Amino acid sequence: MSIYLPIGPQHPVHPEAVQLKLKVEGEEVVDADVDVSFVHRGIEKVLETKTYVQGLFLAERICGICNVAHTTCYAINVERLAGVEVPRRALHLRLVVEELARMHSHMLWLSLLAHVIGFDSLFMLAQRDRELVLDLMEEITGGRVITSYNVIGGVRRNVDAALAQKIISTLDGLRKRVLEYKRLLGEDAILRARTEDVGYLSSSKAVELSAVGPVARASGVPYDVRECDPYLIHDEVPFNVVVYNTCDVWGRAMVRIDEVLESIEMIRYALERLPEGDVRAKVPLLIKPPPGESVARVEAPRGELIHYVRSDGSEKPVRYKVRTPTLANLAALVEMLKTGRKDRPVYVADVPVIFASIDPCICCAARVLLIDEKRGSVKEVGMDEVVRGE
Amino acid sequence: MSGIEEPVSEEEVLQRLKEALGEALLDARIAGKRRVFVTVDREHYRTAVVALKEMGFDFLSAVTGVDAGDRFEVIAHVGRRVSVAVKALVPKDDARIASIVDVYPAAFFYEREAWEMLGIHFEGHPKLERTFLPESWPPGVYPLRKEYRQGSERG
Amino acid sequence: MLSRLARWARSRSLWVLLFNTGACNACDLEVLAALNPRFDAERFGVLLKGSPRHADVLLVTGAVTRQVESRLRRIYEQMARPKFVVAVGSCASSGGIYVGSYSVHRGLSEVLPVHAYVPGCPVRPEAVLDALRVLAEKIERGELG
Repeated sequence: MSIYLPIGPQHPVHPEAVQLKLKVEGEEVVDADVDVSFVHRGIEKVLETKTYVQGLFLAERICGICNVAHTTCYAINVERLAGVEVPRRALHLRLVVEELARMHSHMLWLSLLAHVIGFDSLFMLAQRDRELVLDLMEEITGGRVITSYNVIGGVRRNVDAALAQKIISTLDGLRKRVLEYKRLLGEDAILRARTEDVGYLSSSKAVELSAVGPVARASGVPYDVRECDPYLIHDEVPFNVVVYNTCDVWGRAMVRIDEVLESIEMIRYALERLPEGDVRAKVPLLIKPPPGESVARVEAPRGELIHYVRSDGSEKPVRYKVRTPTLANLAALVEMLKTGRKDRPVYVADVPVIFASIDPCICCAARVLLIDEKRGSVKEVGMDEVVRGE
Repeated sequence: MSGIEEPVSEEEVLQRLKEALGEALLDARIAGKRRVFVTVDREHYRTAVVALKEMGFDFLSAVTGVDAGDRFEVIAHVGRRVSVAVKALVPKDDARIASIVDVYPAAFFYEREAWEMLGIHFEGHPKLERTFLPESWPPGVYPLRKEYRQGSERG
Repeated sequence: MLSRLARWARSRSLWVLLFNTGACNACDLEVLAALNPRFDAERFGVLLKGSPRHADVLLVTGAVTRQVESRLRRIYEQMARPKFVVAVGSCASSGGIYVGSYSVHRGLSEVLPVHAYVPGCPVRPEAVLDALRVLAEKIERGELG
């Protein structure tokens, strides 16, 4: 992901501080633009100066939240380029950590959505439950957030039977809590009022703008890289592509919650059928892939993540390109901010919720520029201030 | 599962692109499961992309700009199941190519990025302007060009 | 005597503002985690605020991209004295893994005075709490501000 506002980094993908420029008339938003330059770190250029192994650690930090998606994609890409075959046990373990990362990311998202709506108890509860997932990640990989679990050729650490059992039983307990959140979203009047029919993105627009991830899937587009372009053992593991047709923030929330439940089942499957064998293939210390190019894609929590690499036979890439899902959804975000439904325009108060609904990979530092043409004023405020209604 | 069905196989993609482009298809290969790489000259880039759209590919993943040493390359990555990379060769002394924003609106941000980082002009793009670089960045300096040295624009 | 009282009070109610200057988010997550019920920074009197005008301590994550630099300075200027700055993580401390990029500084100290550094990539919530404790002790002893 890039690392840009919700767009990244060079990664124009995940920026942290992002600036939304909204044209408003009173309380209604009539036009929108986004400035995503605040988090640009020039990562793609730096990747050209690092070896393939060093690059793995840099790619990992394109986004701390989706670091597992990035290392999975990067490792797969370099392995394809260099002709490295990964042992099956490692594929299972990669899936386990990938799905745990998806869970923690979606739960983080849920807590932030709650915070943006002002539902702080749900924020705290989701954070507390998310800690359970982070504990599991730490036991498996040694890291709570940035895991450095994937290496070129496999994974860094093994999981024994006792740990596998612990993972499954912890997730069984977590499952009940997640079902509670799902019920809340379905029944709580305030949650529904703030999310239903908000941030409208029609199915045809989602296709036209090449939206990805939960944003696309909540608008009826069943695109999930794990199903369309399977990697790891996704062609074996049974799972559902979660699709809702409501085209709104509520739909996106439901997609993510259902995906957490799907992830739990996928992890169970992968652990119950963990094959014997090594967890990493032998690769040379200095990897020099033959000249060529490769494209790798994974389904990051935010949507399709695509990496492209070009090698000239040396130990450093000629070009390493990363397109993160948040950048892919930027056009959809602008569309959502500009276009309400016939009977329900986009209000300024909806903006933080809509913005949050694409799961931008930036948390709290968004700045919003409010341009009121009628009154002729331009105000720069923090997203938090918009949330509190100032 | 409608809306994302791309009913063509990798072989069929190659076949239909050969029909659409003939001699202009400089290179075409299947690079693995669900991976097709084709190379065209700059003049036929749009034709190739439009041909893919007409085959049923309604999704653009990304547009990559590359400084390949003796020339630039623009690569459009199209498709959800099969990922087709359409690579166009762009001469360095005349760095421009047709925009595909009207074919795939998602190219709007991707072409901006390639322009900003490599200085390739996308003809027909409605808004080629600063996207990721800081406001203080001097115009005409393109960081992903091989000749650019880190920090050199600060003088 | 009054100033000792003031220092004591100040060290026990450090209100913090978190600002991301181009981080990958991992440090931000761990700072937020320091404030959640498990690690509970609030028992030390630490509160997360939304505005620089309400904050005593500026927690900075990220490698300070060139684009964000002016905004960072403005935020610092908006804080009332005495004010303190903490560089959270490797990137804020020294530029981290992005060193060499055309787009980032070599650490927060190139832009602002820094009173404490928290190592880690990312930091751990415990390390953040520890840094705040060290800062609080220095403030109480009169070594800062």
